[in-house]
Amino acid sequence: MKEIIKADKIVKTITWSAGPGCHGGCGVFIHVKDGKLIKMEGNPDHPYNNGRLCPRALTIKDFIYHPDRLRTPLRRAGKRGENKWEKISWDEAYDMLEGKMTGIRDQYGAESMIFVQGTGRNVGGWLLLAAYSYGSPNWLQGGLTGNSCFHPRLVCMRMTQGDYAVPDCSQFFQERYDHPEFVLPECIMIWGQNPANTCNDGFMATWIIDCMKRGSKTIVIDPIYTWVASKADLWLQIRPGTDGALALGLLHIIINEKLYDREFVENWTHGFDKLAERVQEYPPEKVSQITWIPKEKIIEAARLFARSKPASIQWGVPVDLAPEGAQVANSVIHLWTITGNIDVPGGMAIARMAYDVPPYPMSKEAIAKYYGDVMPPEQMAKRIGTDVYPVAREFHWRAQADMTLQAMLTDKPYPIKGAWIAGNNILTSAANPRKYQKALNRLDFIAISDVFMNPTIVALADLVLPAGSMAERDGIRAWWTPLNAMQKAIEVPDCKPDEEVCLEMARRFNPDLKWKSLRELYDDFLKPSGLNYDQLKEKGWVFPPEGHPTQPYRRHEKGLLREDGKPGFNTPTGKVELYSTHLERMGYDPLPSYEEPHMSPYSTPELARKYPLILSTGRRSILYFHAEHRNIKALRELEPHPVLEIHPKTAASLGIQDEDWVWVENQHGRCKRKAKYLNGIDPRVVQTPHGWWLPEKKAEDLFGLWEVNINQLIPDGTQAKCGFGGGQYKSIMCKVYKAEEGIQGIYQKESLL
Amino acid sequence: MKYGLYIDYDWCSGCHACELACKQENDLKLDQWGIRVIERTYQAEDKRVIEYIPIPTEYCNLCVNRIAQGMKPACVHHCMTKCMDFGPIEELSKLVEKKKKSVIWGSNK
Repeated sequence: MKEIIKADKIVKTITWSAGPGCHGGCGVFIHVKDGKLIKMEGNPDHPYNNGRLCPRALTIKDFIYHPDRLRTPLRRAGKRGENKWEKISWDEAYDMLEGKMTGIRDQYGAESMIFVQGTGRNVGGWLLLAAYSYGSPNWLQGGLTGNSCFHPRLVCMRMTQGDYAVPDCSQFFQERYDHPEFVLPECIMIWGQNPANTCNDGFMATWIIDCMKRGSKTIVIDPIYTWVASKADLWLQIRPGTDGALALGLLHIIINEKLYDREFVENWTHGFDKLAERVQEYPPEKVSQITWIPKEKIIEAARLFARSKPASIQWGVPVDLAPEGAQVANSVIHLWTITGNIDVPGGMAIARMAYDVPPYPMSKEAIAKYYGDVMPPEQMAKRIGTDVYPVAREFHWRAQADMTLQAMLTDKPYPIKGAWIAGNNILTSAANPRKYQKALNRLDFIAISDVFMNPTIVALADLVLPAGSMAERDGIRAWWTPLNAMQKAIEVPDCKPDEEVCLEMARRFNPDLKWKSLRELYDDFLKPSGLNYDQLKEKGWVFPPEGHPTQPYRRHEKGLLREDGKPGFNTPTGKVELYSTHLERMGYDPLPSYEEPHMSPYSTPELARKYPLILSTGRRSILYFHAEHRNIKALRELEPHPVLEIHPKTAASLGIQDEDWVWVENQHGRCKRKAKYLNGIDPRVVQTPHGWWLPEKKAEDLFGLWEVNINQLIPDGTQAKCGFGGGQYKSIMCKVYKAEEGIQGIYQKESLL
Repeated sequence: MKYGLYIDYDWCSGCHACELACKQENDLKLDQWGIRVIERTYQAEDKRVIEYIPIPTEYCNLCVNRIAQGMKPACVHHCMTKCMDFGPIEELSKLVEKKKKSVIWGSNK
């Protein structure tokens, strides 16, 4: 038995970004010996995770000290794609970044530089600070067609109910499930999310399982019979992409059977009669035909959800990714609204950043208040997409991704000349990645900040900035609650946290910037909490006090939601708007309706004959976060190859056996997958994870990217009419056929060697 | 007093946290695991069952060093669905009396 190596210090912090990679904020203890992380353990007192950690957090030592980690800034020495680099110092890197960006600003204007983050990691807010200090409004999640990850849901919640909401699983209290005001949800509808495999957006999905163990009933909407579906009271096996029809069908039943909360509807909603009229177009028979879900199950689900009090809905990204995702999001909001489940214990808790502290700002108001004075409004007006999409102009804060891609290719509305990409392996993650490669290759200058060499860096970067992991950062975090301090536990020589790099560049581009150091910035941002950074660090985390506008419940009754202090919701009518006055004013349909996927057996029957299977991509794995972690061997052992989950009957009809290598192909492109039999999938549907590249293969071959990148089958430019939602990641068509050979040099399990 | 691990595999979601927590704690090599999660699926009377079951291996030492410090074994501490526990076998046997699909993994420790 091994002796336990004793740490010489233990640092209390939280996880966010580089390392586990995700959006979560799990409390941890980092054990440090001789300046090195030897172990990371979950903090049992932290209310987010209560000691628990996922595999990616538990292998962070392998991540931090990985031999392939970027350990010094690099300047490109050969041509893009040749993987030839010159090591440079941080001073040289800063000077190069400043020099190139200043050149672009002087010649073309600051808007010609785009600032690209990936998913919701902690670099986001700091990259925004760099962008605005430089003078560019073009901060975005690059490659995300339709801005379809949480943003459609966010803008709809903001427009329709004035605030964001999340299922209440007691996460607003230190005592969690024991808090006297908390009520266990009687029923949770889990809509396109697999809480056993992935957490989303400041919400630890395992809380759903906690509630299930305590007795909450569940309705799972998923094309796949997952473990959670197997534990649920009801499983609705939906045809991918038809979520909008299902939501309208559920509303139809709840309204027609008068199962809604009459008192709440009467007092706190606007436009109920118009919604009631609209949903008549979606009777259960029709919805059953569209969604492939038996009519009886739809009716049963509607009744179970509406009769349960309180009830909540945990929704995932398929809501955004459905055609007209914003309309689907609104339909789901209407479900929790008319059943009276908003702002009540155990229902949908209104969620604001604790104390409204905005290290990761998620509203235009927060940006204006904290970051706004660093960029003039006339410059702000140049944000790509705002001229076409009023919803983006009024309720959103990023550049529209599909239009940014077009701008790079067409120089319209103005030329894009440079990109600073932080934590986004865009050639792996973007829809239509080859188009992105072509577009980005047109730029004069690309800087990429990341932790490992990846296909995007090899193919496109001129300057590489080695980023620090979460263990190497001081920081603050409020993604909903609590408000946390991040604390640096270790240093990895010549790697720098994004916070430091972004502030340094922000100060160079804006000498008048009011913060001279990160400490000053954190102290300033933390003011609403009454604490400074050192005080917060001491405590670790804090919750706002009871009665604070950022703590639940029933704030709409108490006048805590609106600027004017009146009771009601933060909308023009003061009600939750089932009939959206904002959408009406902007010229859109104020009521939700259903749109068929762009490519489907019904919308494109001719193509469907050639590509008969519905392909749903983006299936999550708990071992990998998007395009990360394929190089962490302890994780790779458990899921060594990219798989295509296929019903055995379908496989048999195609002459495919379990574990055969296959091609997945449609009119946009093809890639390889290893067939994996899955009994719990509709024979007409196949499913596969995204984000694959092969770190074990040669950099010059872009790490085998084009052999395994499923996004080659996904087009760009299929965004919803309002710019939010759509993108065909979940509902494209394909054909599957046996590949003559597998993938040369792909990782083989150590246990098989 | 003899100690063991209690596993309520009715609630194991197959998240692999126990496997990697063990690996980190005991600094095990790539193909050494102190606990493995197996998956099985079968048709029951009314529905198809999906089950994950964590099984300690040859390498499991019940984290005696952690226990000596009053902590739980690394797998129990990090289990995402809190479906595992550690304690005297006598106490754990009271838990299995009440719960279908729960087991105790014994040891001579």
